[in-house]
Amino acid sequence: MARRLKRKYRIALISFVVLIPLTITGIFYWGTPEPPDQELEKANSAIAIARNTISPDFIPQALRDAAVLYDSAMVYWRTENEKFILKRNYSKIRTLAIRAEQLALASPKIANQNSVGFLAAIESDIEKAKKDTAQIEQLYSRLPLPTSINKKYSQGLLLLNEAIQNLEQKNYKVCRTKLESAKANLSDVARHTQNLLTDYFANLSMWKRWVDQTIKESSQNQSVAIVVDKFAGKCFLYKNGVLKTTYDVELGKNWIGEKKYSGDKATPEGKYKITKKKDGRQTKYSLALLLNYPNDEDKRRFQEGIRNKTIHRNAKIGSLIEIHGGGGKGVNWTDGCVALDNDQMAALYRLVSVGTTVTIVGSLQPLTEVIKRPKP
Amino acid sequence: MKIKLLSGVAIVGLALVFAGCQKYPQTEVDAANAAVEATRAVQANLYVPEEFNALQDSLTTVLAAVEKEKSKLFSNYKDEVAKLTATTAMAQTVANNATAKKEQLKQETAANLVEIATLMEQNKEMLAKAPKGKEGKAALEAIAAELATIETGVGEVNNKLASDDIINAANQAKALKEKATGINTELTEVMAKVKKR
Repeated sequence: MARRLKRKYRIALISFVVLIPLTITGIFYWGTPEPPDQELEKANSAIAIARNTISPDFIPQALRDAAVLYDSAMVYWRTENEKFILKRNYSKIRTLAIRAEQLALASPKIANQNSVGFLAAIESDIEKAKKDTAQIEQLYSRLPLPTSINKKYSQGLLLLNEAIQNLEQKNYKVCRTKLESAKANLSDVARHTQNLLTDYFANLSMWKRWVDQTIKESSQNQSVAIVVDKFAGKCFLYKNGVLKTTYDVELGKNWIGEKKYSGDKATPEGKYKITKKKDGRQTKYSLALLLNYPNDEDKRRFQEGIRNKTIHRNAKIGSLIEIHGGGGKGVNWTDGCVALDNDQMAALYRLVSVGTTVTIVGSLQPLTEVIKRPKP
Repeated sequence: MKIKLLSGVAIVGLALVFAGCQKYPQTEVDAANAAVEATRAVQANLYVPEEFNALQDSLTTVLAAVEKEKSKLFSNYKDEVAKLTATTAMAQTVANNATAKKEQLKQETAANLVEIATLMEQNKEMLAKAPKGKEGKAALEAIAAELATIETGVGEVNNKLASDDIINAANQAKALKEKATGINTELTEVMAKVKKR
């Protein structure tokens, strides 16, 4: 009896010692949930690839969302790992990781679409800015522009250069900012020069009429006449209505536009006559031809300016507008006169006389033709 | 006797089962996280973006490996600890490289500013002597305006340096130097022509 009991006890003990640990181990082995490491690894890899292939300036929301989902999955994983091993549930983590991977995989395509549009816009803006620059450049050296506009132009050029540099370095956001500023500066300058010229060339038909009339009179009266084209910087000598000679001329510093008052350094536009031929001690420029500025039209315009308060009431209309020597400097430097180099002045001086018509106009050609001329 | 032996084996076995779970390497994880944060503090993401991305990838991967190990019935963090230590060391290298790159950019910018100052001095001198020749006064005025723009730009570069915006300061200084060099070349050519005459 005692032996049987002992045997039973032994069987029970063996069962306890062997089976219980085996059962526990089995429960833990088969009951432990599979960790979501593969899903997270895939998501992490997709995010890393996307981040390394996409420029930082074009990272789409999808990739940011993917990173957030991945981080959330990691937080949940840590939280689940804090629980008792058999109570852990990784299904939510798997869902988050799979979604993160999907978003990360879609990101390069989205970024590519965004970048294509962005780069196309940037390239188009750069082209526009270059076009503005070319247009300004075409006229820039010929026009007396205010210092503020000169400054704006050089700033615009510098910013455009920086924008192009940043584009080459793939700093797209900085490129965009620089380009916006460059565009603003260059557009302002282009608008300013365009408005200046459009206003200026509004008188073209009148100038043409003056010139036609001058040539006709030269032909009818068998006389000599001078036509000055300010924009071209040329002086044309007509004899009996036929063009004989062309000279280069230099004008007042602010040559563009009509002369309004004394000291504005503008060269007047109008039909004038030579009133005096000066030489020797009569002039400091070896030779000079005094014009009858101001004529009646100049006086009328000056009075109107005073009335309109566009000219200061203390201003004077000015006088002593001449065609004189001392030119050939290659710059518009006079106080409003027309300057030729001394040799050409001497030649012209010989051909004209007191009473010769001198017609000074802004341009003989329309703006569209003028801007086609090569840069001097 | 046999019973005692079996009991002992069972107890040791169970003890080994539970002792098999190693301690979570919290210290190493914290150290690695802190090291990566430190690289962000020195703007490694701006100065050495590729290295920074690689570091981030490395940290993310090793943290996932740590959690994977923790999810197991028998965790063994030996490899992960080694990886965490390596990541911490890598972060230190990245931080050093970022600091070095920043310093290099600062020095380059400072050198560019010195060169710009020299060029500007020469440019101003040549501009004063430049003939009002065929290019005309308007061209010289345009150059003067460009020089003024460069001077304003130099002020902006200094402001950026002061506010630690080194990358933009470096890029702007480079562009300004190019511009100043361009003007210098232009003026030098003009002056050479004058001398020939």
